[in-house]
Amino acid sequence: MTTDELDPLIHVPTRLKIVATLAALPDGDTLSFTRLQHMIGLTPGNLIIHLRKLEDADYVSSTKASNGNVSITTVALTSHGRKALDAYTQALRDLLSGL
Amino acid sequence: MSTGALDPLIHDPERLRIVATLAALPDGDPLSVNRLQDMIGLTPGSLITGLRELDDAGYVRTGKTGGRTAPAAVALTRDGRAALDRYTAVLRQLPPVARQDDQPPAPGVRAGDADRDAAAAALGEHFAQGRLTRDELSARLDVTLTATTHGELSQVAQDLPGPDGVPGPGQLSRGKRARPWHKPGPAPGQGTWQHHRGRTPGRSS
Repeated sequence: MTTDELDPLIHVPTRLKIVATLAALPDGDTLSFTRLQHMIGLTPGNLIIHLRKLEDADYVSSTKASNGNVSITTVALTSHGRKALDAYTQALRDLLSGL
Repeated sequence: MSTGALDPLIHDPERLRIVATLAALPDGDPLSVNRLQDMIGLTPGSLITGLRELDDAGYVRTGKTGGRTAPAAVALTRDGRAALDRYTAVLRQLPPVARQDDQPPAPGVRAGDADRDAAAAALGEHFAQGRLTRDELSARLDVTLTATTHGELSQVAQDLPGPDGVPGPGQLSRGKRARPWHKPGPAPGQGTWQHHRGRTPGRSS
């Protein structure tokens, strides 16, 4: 059995939730920061930290759009991130094959 | 975390590998630790540590413990298997998917003939129960029958209660924000994990 590494960036439960949630969006769709926060149940600070790590790896992209005095941050999975999640689930599936 | 959390004892990559490997054996079958080590490719040190942690939690039973001697054989316990089952169940629920049956369609989603007919029938019921005048009914029917989205349909019935347990279109969306990413189609509980699973048939063995 080869040691297919489980991507540590995705493996952390909170980040796994973030990535999986974003992956459920149709390709190219974005989710607002607030909405993501409510779905996952994190504090803003916590979510920002995890998003930054995912952004640094180019798994996730975020866009800040401001319209007048309201600014909204939207988050999306990049194609790189989707590939990483695919590889991760594949590794996990191999590990848990038959279960 | 809202729904069940991922069991940290199993989620650790090394322990996950141990538990998954043992789970592939028939129930209660012990495996020699040397053999396990070959299969998993962990260093003896991390294997022993992982096994000890799992043993302490009652997830595995090691043959020869006590003292400094390394265990000779190891098997997954019933508790361990149950914990792994819970773990994979949590994985399958990722991400938290909205249930199809209690979520109204998003306002921007296109309405079909059946939706328009249902909305029109609900208006007729409201008229019959005296909530709408004939003029109001006819004006709203015009809007309903030409509506192209669910948003327009719910707009028409916004100020109307659900007649006798038949909720008007406006009732359904009250207090619940429609989820724009939720496309109709996949069955409830169909998360990413299963989605990915289904994409590569013939992978399991």
